[in-house]
Amino acid sequence: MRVVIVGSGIMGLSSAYNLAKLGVKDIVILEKEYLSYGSTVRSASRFRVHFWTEENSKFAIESKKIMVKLSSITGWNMIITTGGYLWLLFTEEQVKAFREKNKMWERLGIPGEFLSPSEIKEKYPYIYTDDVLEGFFGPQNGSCFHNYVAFGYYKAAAKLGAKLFERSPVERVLVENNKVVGVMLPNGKVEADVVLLTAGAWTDELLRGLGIELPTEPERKEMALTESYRYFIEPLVIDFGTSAYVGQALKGEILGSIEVPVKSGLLPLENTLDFLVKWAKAVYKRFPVLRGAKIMRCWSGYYSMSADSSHIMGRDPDWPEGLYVAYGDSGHGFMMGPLIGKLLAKNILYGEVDELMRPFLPTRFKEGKLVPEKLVIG
Amino acid sequence: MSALRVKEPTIGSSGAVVTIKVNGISIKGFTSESISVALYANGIKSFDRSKKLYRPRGFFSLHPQARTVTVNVNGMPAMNPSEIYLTEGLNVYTQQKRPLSVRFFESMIDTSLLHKPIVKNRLLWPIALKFIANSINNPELVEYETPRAVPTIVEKADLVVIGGGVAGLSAAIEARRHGLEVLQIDDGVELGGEMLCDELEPPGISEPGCIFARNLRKKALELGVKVLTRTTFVGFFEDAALAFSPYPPGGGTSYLISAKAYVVATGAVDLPCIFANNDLPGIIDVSSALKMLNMHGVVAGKNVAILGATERGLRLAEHLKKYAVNTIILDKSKGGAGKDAIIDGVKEIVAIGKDRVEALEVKREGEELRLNVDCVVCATSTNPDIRISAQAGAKIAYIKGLGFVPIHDPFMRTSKNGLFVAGGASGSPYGILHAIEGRIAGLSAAVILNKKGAEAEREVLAKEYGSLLQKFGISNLKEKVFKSFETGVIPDEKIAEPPTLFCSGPRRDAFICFCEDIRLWDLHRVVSVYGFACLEKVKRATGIGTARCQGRLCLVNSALYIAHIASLSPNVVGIARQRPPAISIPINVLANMEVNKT
Ligand SMILES: Cc1cc2nc3c(=O)[nH]c(=O)nc-3n(C[C@H](O)[C@H](O)[C@H](O)COP(=O)(O)OP(=O)(O)OC[C@H]3O[C@@H](n4cnc5c(N)ncnc54)[C@H](O)[C@@H]3O)c2cc1C
Repeated sequence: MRVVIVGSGIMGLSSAYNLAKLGVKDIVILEKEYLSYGSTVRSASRFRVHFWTEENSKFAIESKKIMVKLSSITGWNMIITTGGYLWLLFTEEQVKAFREKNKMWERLGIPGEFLSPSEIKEKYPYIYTDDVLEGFFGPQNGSCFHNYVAFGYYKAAAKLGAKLFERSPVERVLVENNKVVGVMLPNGKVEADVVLLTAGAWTDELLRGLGIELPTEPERKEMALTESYRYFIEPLVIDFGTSAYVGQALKGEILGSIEVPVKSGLLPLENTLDFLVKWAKAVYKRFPVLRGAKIMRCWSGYYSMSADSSHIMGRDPDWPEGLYVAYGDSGHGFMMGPLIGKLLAKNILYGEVDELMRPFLPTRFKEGKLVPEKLVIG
Repeated sequence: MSALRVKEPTIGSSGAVVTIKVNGISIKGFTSESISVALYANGIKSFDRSKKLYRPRGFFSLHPQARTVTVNVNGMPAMNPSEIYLTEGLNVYTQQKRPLSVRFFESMIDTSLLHKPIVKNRLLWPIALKFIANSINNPELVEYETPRAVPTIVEKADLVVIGGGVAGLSAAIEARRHGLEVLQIDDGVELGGEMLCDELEPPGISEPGCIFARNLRKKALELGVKVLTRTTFVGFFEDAALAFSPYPPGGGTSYLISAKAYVVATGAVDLPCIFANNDLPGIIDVSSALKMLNMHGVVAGKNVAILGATERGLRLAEHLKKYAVNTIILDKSKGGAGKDAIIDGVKEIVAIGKDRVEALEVKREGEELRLNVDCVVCATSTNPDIRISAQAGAKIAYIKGLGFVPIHDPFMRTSKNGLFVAGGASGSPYGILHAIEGRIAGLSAAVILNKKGAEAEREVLAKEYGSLLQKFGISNLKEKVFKSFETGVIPDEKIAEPPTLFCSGPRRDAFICFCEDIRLWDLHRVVSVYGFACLEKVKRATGIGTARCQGRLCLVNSALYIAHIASLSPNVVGIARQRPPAISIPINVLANMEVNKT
């Protein structure tokens, strides 16, 4: 059986690795640019277990378990840190909503901690807290090094026989008798028994080519990065007022983002000064110590936003046989990737739909069983 | 006056003598020089320690964008010593220590955080992590009173000329002559660029370069070209173009630029040579050596080794000789010997020294030499400064003999509408060519703004340009560039060993990136073990090109080295994506901006 995987982001690579581990010999990964060109290496590479919906939280808990073991599996040091996530809350409503959710999180075994402004100050003296009502701290959350996650998965899959072809943009999926038979590249076709679309924000286009419409669309997100400074910001700090987030990589760069209004769609992967200035303003206020810090670079990538802000994985029985997707990750796909690959591999090979996976099937939109995720960052 | 000062500074009207403190000790310098120059002139060569290995670091280049070292200035950490000019009472601290624990764990840090035993042991990792975070030599942020913010200045012009060297000045003059409003942006203290540092006659010019450059400058100013000095054009954002001047230190001034056309005349970058211990303080580029001598009156050393018997190398030797400096030129190719003081056929170089270069061990055929030197200058090759053109979206390709260049036509148009290149930034060799290319670029800007007569003048100049290219023997190289522009096809040639390489194996002490301590060995491993050959992937696997100098010094060397060992064309390896800002900007400056002003 040949599996063609379109796209070499974390979704494609973790699926390839898991399929190969389950014994699939003929795996072909097609990538339009170079290994992991897409969002995976453009992300903030953070993981968390706290989500608004129980389905997402449970999924993330299991995915994290794989993530922290990944170094031993792939031999690449993922540089896992668990500095936590700190949400800064400003209104009674926000605090109430988090308190409500924390009951669920407690039940799932991932309780967070509420911190008063003075407690925040004590723990993280560099944060300006005068206007903060309360903080919610999730100690289970953390970060890792996205490049090595992608490369590690790739190397592990390649070792088991998966083949990667770069500069091979798939133009469309070929279907005969309601069954996928391959994909079309500019210079010819590649045959396949199974086609897995993990083309991130570009997946919509490929699905549309098959006449499949799912409520997803790309949204460009920008990020900024400072020069390296001595490591001191352990958690990812999320300002619920401005939507700005700030974190520091172990190597020293301080990075973050803030929401700016943009049109959806595959906008050029450029940067705007508007974004940079807005992020700088938010940082200036929240982190007085960073006022002299120097911004060195910025970049952009796409969130693949789905209608309910939860990822989409698996297949719809109405689709051509052999067609699978994993995308629509709405800005938290990197952390879900390890489990998505694992469950999807079983789904493809054995038709198994894991209980954790069931809520995220593409059929949920027509069935009206959404997983409305409200805790989206950035 | 220290031993390295051989004459009065020749630049700036305000070259007053001031006293500054370096690690508590008073030294003297001029207000016309940056901290880097003042320290070097006073014999202080090591400013900082490197990020992972705590090796001594001095500047390689004085260019503000080639920022590989930082110092603490007036209590503000991580300042760029080549960016800040002296004022009375400035307090500078350099970093000299190397913790014992780092020596002990060096091999762990050495492998770029990838150490296998720790990877395997998940329980040990959280402890190792703390240690690693603390042992990476990053400057510590402290809260300081940021200077009162200067409001953003909005600058509108027909043409913005980026770079104020001979090419940039020539472009500005022509455009101004045709009635364009011209804004010229340069990061030096005064306009003139490298030719300002040339007391000899540059190729094709029959007067000393410094006079030629000064005359151009005078003319540009007379014609009413608006000038921003000590200002860096930071880049093209989707919604704005930005320039930044790091004054007052700790903060800075931002300029929102809007223009109908741009001429990129940012010159060329001297590539560092790659050999054992090539990161030692005292190993610098030609442009800095020339600048120190002819602008600041400081010789780079008393016994100077120049790598590369190139036009630049020989020119520097000529200049230094006038001040009784012993120079010796080392070259890879054979046949240069016999001419005075050239050692040819050099295969391998090892630099010796503790916190500065003290000697070179040189291997050539059947012979090993030891040269006692106090300065080594890298002059083997340059590459156009492609930062801004690439950022703007102009197509970049490797052309053998010229380097990675923005593809352009004889009218200096790039593949990006309204963006023109000239001079070193277009891959042309030094001299009169820079002037004529600048003029053509300026005329091209006038042409797209429909100025009468510009097109006819450009036609005439283009002819002259063609014959000059021939005269200088580079017409076949430039023709390749023009052809690529026309056809959109880029040549796919493999290359031999990079000219900068003086090293036989992938050594662990031959540095490619001074910011992140990335060595030949790291690159070699990524290519041979992981099989990565595309620079974007190598960048993500090693961190090359992602630190303070943003790849200015390392990307081209990396691309050429990888192409060499993987036997690929540099165009297949590619050059990594360039993004704004070209120079780091403090958060307080950005936070003070109002973008919607334009
Ligand atoms: C700025 C930013 C910050 C983020 N921060 C986080 C975070 O902190 N934590 C987190 O969990 N997530 C984060 N994310 C989200 C995360 O990056 C994505 O959810 C995840 O990387 C998606 O992985 P993917 O494999 O689905 O897609 P991608 O990584 O985008 O991979 C898709 C690949 O498919 C290729 N491709 C596309 N079309 C074709 C075609 N036709 N033929 C062949 N190949 C094709 C693309 O080139 C690309 O390489 C962030 C995203 C962004 C943009």
